[in-house]
Order: sequence, then C-alpha cells, then structure tokens
Amino acid sequence: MLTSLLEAQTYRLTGKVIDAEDGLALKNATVQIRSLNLTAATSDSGTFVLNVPVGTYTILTSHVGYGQKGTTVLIRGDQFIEISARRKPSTELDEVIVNAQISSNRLKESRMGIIRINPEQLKRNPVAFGEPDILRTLTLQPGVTTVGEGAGGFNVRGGNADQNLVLLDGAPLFNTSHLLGFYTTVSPDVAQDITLYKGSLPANYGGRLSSLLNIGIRPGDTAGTRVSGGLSPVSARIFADGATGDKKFRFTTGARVAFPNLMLRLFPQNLKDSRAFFYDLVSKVQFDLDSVHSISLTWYQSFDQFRFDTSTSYEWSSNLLAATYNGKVNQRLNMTVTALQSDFKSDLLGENKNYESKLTSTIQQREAKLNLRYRLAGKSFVDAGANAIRYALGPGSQVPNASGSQVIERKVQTEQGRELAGYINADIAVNEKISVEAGLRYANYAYLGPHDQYTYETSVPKSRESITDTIRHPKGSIVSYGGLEPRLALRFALNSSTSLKAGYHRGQQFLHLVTNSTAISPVDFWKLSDPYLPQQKGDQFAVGIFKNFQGYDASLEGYYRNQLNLLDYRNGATLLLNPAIETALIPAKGYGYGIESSLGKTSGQFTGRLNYSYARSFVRVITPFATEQVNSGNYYPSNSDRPHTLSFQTRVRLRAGWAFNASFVYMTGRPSTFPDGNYSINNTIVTNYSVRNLDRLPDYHRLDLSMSCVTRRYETQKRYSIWNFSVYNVYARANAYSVFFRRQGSSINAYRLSVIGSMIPSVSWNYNF
Amino acid sequence: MFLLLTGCIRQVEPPLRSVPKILVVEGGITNDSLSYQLRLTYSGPFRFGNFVPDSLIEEEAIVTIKDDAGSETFMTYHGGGLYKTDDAGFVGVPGRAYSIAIKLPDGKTYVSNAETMPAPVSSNTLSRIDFDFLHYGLKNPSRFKVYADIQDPGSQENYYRWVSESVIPRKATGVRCGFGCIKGEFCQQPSSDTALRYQSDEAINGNTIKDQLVATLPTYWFGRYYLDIGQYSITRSYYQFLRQYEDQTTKTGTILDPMPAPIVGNVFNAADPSDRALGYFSVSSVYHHKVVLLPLSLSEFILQQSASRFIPVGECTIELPNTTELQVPAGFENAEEIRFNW
Repeated sequence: MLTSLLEAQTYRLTGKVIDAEDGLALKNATVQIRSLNLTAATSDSGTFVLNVPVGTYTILTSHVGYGQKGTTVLIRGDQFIEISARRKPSTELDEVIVNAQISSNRLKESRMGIIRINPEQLKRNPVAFGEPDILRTLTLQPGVTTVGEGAGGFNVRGGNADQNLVLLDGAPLFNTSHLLGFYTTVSPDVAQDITLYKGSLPANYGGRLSSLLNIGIRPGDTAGTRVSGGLSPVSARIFADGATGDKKFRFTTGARVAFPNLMLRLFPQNLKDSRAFFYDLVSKVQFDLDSVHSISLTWYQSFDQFRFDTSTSYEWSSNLLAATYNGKVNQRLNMTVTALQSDFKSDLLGENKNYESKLTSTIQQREAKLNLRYRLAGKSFVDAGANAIRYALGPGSQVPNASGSQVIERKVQTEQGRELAGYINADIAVNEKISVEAGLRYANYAYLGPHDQYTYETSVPKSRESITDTIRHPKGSIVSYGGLEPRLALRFALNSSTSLKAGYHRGQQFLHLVTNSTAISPVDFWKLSDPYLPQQKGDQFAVGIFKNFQGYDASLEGYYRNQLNLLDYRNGATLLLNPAIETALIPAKGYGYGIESSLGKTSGQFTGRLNYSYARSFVRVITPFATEQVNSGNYYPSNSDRPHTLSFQTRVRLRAGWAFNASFVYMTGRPSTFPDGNYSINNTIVTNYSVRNLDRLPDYHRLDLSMSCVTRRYETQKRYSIWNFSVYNVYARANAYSVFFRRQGSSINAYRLSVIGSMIPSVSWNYNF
Repeated sequence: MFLLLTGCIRQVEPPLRSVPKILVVEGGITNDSLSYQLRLTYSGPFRFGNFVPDSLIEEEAIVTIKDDAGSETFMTYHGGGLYKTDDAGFVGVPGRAYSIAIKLPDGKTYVSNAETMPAPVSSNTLSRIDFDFLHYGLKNPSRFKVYADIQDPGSQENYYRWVSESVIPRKATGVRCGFGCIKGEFCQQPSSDTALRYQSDEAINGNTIKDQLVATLPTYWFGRYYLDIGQYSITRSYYQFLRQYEDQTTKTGTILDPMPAPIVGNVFNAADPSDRALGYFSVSSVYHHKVVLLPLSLSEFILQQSASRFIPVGECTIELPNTTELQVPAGFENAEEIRFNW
C-alpha cells in the first residue's frame, strides 16, 4: 500500500539542456518520457519542468542539428538534471538553409507564416557578391519580396517596407540596409537565430503591421575563445566569442568593414562615379549570476557613407544598446526585463560651393519591457507583460556646413511620442491534436507637446495657403490613439504528419516612414502619428495545411489582409524640411491576398526547397477632394504587388566537405508608371503620367550557383574554413530595376535601368579558429 | 573577374497607352508692358518636342485674362496655337491677382486659380563670366556663361526664374566689293536662352544667392554682346510646377527618383475641378538687368576652331536668319558695358 502511495505522488523534475561543446542553453529542445507519455519543450534558458511519479525513467532529448540522447534518471523526490546534447557530425549539418519551419516543429506549433534561417548554413550560400546575407536570403522565401536589386528594405505579403519590425536582441533597427540595399546591416556571423513572422506576430510584439524579423545575437562560446570571419571582394569580417574559465561571463564581439568602391566602378554610368563605405560593430556580454539568472548587454553600431556625385553625399548611422535580465522566479515562472535605446541618424551633405549644407533627420526609441512566462502543464505556457516606449524624432534640420555658405538654418519641429502596451498570450496544447495560441494586446499611443500645430480650412485641400491658425500645444498629450489587438492561432492535427492551421492578427503602427521613392532611400525620414495622421491599422486572416512525409515537407498557406491609414503623397509634394508635412500627405487604404506553397526535401545527400506564391496587393487614396485623387480614387496595384513568385533552392552534398548549391528565383515585374501621352512645354517634350502603376517592369528571374567547401572533418575540430566559389546571375540577365523616360535631343526615349547587368563571379573565405 | 561586371541602361520601347487628349496651357502675364502670349495645344502620342502636330493645336478658343479689380482683356489667335493680347493698356501690376479663362469649341471652360503677382527683386550683380569652349566639329557653338549674385529680401518668400534675351555678333565670309573691299561680313542676331533656371530662397532667406547661372550666350565672333537678364519673381505654386517639370525631364531611374506623377498645373475645368489641364498660366513680375559684354582676350585662333562651321559663305544679313546690321539695340543705349577677360 505504501508502495502504491509513493507511486501515486509526483515530483518535480526540472532540468536544463545544454550544448555539450560550448555549454550554451538549447531552447526549443524536445524532452520526452515516452513511458509516461510526457513531453516538454525547453525555454529560452534551456530549462524544462516535468511532473513525474517515483521510478526510473529514460529521458529522451532531441533538437535540430543535435543527435537524440537518452538519459536515465531515478526519481525519488524533486530533482534537477543537466543534459548535454551533442551536435551531429559535421557531415550531417548540411540541411537546407531555410526551413519554412523546422519540419518536426511546424506540425506542432499553432502559429504559421514563420521563416527560420540557420545562420551557420547561411555562410555556405553566398547571395550578395560572395557574402552571406540575411535579407537577400529572406527575399528568396514565399511572401517576401524587394522592389529591386540594390533597393533597401523588404516587403512582406505586399506590405510597405516600413511595416516590418526588425529587432536585434529585442531592440528595433530603423535601418536594415548597407550600401543602399545590397547588404543587411547585421552580419549573419553574430546571429544565433533569425526568425521572420509574416503578419502573424505573437501578442508580445506590436508596432508594425506586416512582419517581425527577430535576430538574436549569440552569447559567447563557453568551450573557449573562438574567432571566425570572412573575406570577400567587398568586405572583411572578424568576430570573436568566448567565456571566462568559470563560464559565468561570456562575450561576443565583431566588426565588418566594406570597401565597395571597386564594385561601384563597374556599375552603370550614373553609379560608377559614386563612392561608398560602411562598417558595423557589435558586442554582447552575458553574465550568468547563477544557473537560472543572467544579465546581458548588447551594443551595436553601423555607419554608411555614400557619395553619388561631387555635390551630394549621404551618411547614416545606427546606434543601439540593450540590457536584458533573464531569471526564474520559481520553477514555473520565468521573467525577462529589457531596457533599450535605439538611435538612427541620417545626414544629407550638400557640397555645392556657397551652398554647403547639412540636412539631418533623427529618430530615437527608448523602451522598457517586461515579459513573464508561466509554464503550464506539458507544452503549454502563458506570456504576459508590458512595454513602455518613448519616441523622440527630429524630422529635419538644415545648417550651413562651411564658412561662406549662404544656406540659413532651418529646422522642422521635433516630435515626441509615448506608447504603452500590455499583453497576454497563451499557448495551450489542448491535446495531441489541438493546440491554440491566443493573445490580446492593448496599445495606447500619445503624441506629446510642446508642439505647434497648424489648423486648415476644411473645405479645400490642406496647403500652406489654407492655414487658418496655429495652436500652441503645451507639454503633455496632444492626441492619443490606441486599441485592442487580438491575435489567434489554431492548430488541428489530422494525423501525425498533417496539420491544419488558422490564424488572425490585428496590428497598429504609430510610426511612419515618409518617402516618395519606390525603395527606401537615405533621404527618407520617420514621422510619428499626430492629430492629422492616425495610426495605421491592419487585419490579417490566414489558413494553412502542413504535411511531412518521408524526408519531405509541404505546406500551403492562404491569407487576406486589409490596412487603413496608409501614407500616400500629393503629386509634387515637398517632403524634406516641410514644416506643414500634413499638406503633403494623403491617407490611403489597402488590401491584399495570396497563397504561398512550399515543398522541401529536408534530408539526404540532396536537399532543397521549391516555393511558389500568388499574391496581390492594392491601395487607394482616400480624399474628398477630386484634385488629390490618384487613379480617379480607384484601387491600383501597390509598389510591391508581384502576383507570381517562384523560387527553388537546392544543395547537393559531395565528398570531402564539398557541396553544390543552386538557387533560382522568378518574380512578376513590379508595377510601374509609364507615360500615356506627351506634350510640349517650353519647346521641350514632357511625358504625362495620368494613371499610376498600371504598367509593369519586365519579369525578374535569376540563377545563382555556388560550390562550397567546409574543411571541418570532425565535430570537435575548431580550426576550419569555409570556401565559397559562387556565380551570381549565371545567365547574365539584365533584370530591370526601373524604366524611366528621358529627353534625348528633341525626342523622348524610354530606358531600362539594370543595376546588375551581368554575371558576377566571386570567391569568399570564411574562417574559424 | 571584375571585367565581366557591368550594370546597364538600355533603350527600350514600352507601349504608349492611348488616352483622350488633354488641353495644354503655356503662357503667362508679367508687369512688362508688352503683348502677353498663351499657347494652347493638346497632349498626344507624338514623340518630338519641337513639333506639335496640327491636329493637337487649339485654334478656336476664346481666351480672357482677368484681374481682381474687374478688368479683363481678350487674346487673339495668331496661328500655331498662339494667342496674344492686343490691349496695350492691360499691364500686370505687382500685388494684383490675375487669372485666365479659356472657352473651348466643345463648350468646356477651363480657368486658372487667381494668383497674386509678386513684387520684382531688383538686385542682380554679375559675379563672373566663364567661357565654355567647345572645339570645332561639334554641333553647338562655344558659350559665355554669365553668373550673378542676388541679394534676397528677407522679409518675404521669394521664388526666382531667370530667362535671358541677347543680341550677339555674327560673322559671314562676306562678299567682295572691289579691291580690298569685303562687305556684309558682320551682323548681329537675337538669341533667346530659355533653359530652365529657377531658385527658391527657402534655404537662404535674406542672404545672397551666389554665383547663380543666369544666362548663356552662344559665342560665334568678336564684338559686343547685348544681354538682357530677365529676373522673374514667380509664385510658389509656379515654382513647384517648375520643380516637378524638371524632375520629370531629368529622371535617371535610380532609387532617389520620385515616383512618376502628372505635373500639376493651375488650370482646370470650371465645371469639374478633377479635369485638369496640363501646363501653367504664370503670374510673375520681372526685373531686367541689361548689360553690354565686351570680351577682350577672345582670340581669333580659338574662335576659328570653335566657330568656323558657323560662318556661312555670303553676306551676313542674308545668310543668317533674323540678323541686322551692327547697331545698339533698343533699350541698351544706357546699359553698362562690361569689358572682361577670362
């Protein structure tokens, strides 16, 4: 009887799964006791909890890239166990670079629309002049596009480039592109995990409508100091990480410096006289107070300089600092507290004699956030938390930049805003077949004074002539916006290899990028929601089916989204240094829909993925004034509307560490505006563009091939190299970046600009020691 | 490896969509007491700017210019889509607002927003003159480039445009008129410089606009160059129109190009404001700075290289269009003469 009582009582088995080689915690590892039908997943700190009766059990742990491990444990009371997992031998590491989601997990997760990138594998597939790159790899995935080669930013499911929240260790990055879009500002060398949520953000996150790109910087290697880096025709990178002897203090640090002038000389005439330079620096230190409490500090800086011609140059820089405390309150409750500051500054330097000037715009975000994660039984957990953000923006100021300059000082009023948000998010595994992730976020935003606000006649379009008064707002809230943002993700497993999913997401965005060019450019600036500019709002509905079968996975997702209060611009509007910027803006709304399919082969000598998506995206301006309407007030294709996108990536493992990679992408040409008539003014022919975006550029397609060689022969080998021999744009297609119209003599001609008009062979060397 | 790398710009033939023709308005009023002009044409699929087909010229419009004091004057048709005022008493006055009404044969009436004529800015001091030498064999002659400093009044927003007219010396081979006698070798010819030059005082309000290029003069031969620099004070709305016009005509296809859009003018259908005409009816005041330029160190050797192909055989006034004998043009009797080297 006593035995029966003992057997009925359960004890708490807590544990931590770590990498056997470097001692790093492994999150999202699966922990199972099959005899009890118990399963748990490890937290961000690698810990797990199981309630088990007295007895002897075999604990199975598994994680992507690691071998499955069995550990026997005798349970007679509450107990803690540390499990070391070993990485698979290097020859087994050659998975496809991007997993639409890790195959085994994606059937079990409630959420869909997630793309995870393996940073290690990224290094073996250069996509940007011999270099691995995060955004350029992402743009090979379904639902992620860019407006063209060399264009900054990216578009997710037809959204605008400013609708993507890019977080580096939890802190926002306002600029993601070096060299006007050829490189991502974060090198994959420092990334531990890279995850893109396509419009299906957990309730923990808000502030952008289209996507969340979460990049985590790896903490230092506890197994010893490790140095890695790379060399390509454009840049040099070096990174180091390590830990102190007691493994309590870990660090990662690195730098990348570019020398792209050689490459620029090979560009078309209007770019070849340009000069550029950029660098980025990153450091992270982590101090483990004990086995369950840690503090980390992340610092990041990037700088770009670009000179188009002799009269104008651009400089932009990001600075970011984030401090995070992570600790266990008790066995079930985990707490994360983060304080951060992110700054972005952009300068436009005019160098014309007598008119030397410097035009600066800035944005600063300071934020504090708290997240509590309470683990329920099994794999279920609840997140709750809050964050407070303070925005400070300098939309534009101009000062003379040399003695004798005739330029006068001008400054657009600075802007201040405050955003407060609270959320709760529950991820519940109802049973083996059904799981639900439901969240609710409430965000409240206030535009803060002191600030002078113009008022306008209401019967005519806003203009400087229709200003009726100026209201001088004192310190405090001028206007506030806010609302609930429900999030829902459902999963129903038809069987062990097939899941059906559905999701809903609502978001709000209080920060807008003011730009009148198709792509993100250095003269763009950020703007807060104000009395004339309410927050952007958007809803997205999605359904999908996911299936795994014998080394393959397949998925089909469909979505519909709508968005309100988007920004559009009056024709000919002045954006820079406009003290009445509302006179240049027109509200718009949009909608989009699409299907995204993916088929992947995830194991064996030959791995690969085939993606196809059909997606549409439309916008229309909303104005009561006929003179402001675009396309007669009808919907028209947005700049990122690309109906058909097809991509194929494959990797064939060869002998002696060699692998062959191929990648092909095809996209419908993006919308463009061609003239629909010409007229004569001042004895000069002028083109007329009466309707917007009704034409298209030629379709885009490109094939890249590469051979990579990893000189690592065994798992614990520390010194090894990765060589890449790649050819970008193999069949030298001159994909159109734009078609523009220019006067030539007395006639007007059309020209197609291709940023890259030929094949680009390249060699890069990545090293580890 | 890098020899293989090139980006490229290639000429292509995109289809032109067929849309209904749109009225194009080009002209304006100033404070000069002269005949004001307006050109009415239509947009179409033509490709050459100097030639608007007859089918796209409006010949039967009724055009009226009005001011805010109730005065108005009609414009009469002079061919080629050109309408002119005949009323010598109707002269633009700074501070007064002007608009235009265009009644078309189909019954539609297009009107412009009334715009107030800005005050002229009478500061214009030549700062330097450059000689832009073009070797012979080229299509265009060498040029003088004239720069000026303009003291901007700080008390108001100012928008400027510079358009120059000149009378320049020309040379022909001449014809023999006896032993050692050649006649008809020299003459002079009017020249217009309509290149788009405009400026806002937004960045320099109250300071000096320095070294502004205000005129270029084709340089064929020695002699006096009579230059009339028209310094127009234009409205903000017209300045914005010119800026869009320049954006549109100088696109390079890079990421910094603004998205293509129609150039918004100030003329629209009175019954349907969303029906916009193209072009602009400008209301501007003008200050004329007249000078006589006398280049001193221009060598015949240089001119022979750059201008020999522009020296016709025969009498100057016969072989070259619109030429006259050498004389001081009207209005330049008291103009300052500037002798210069470069």
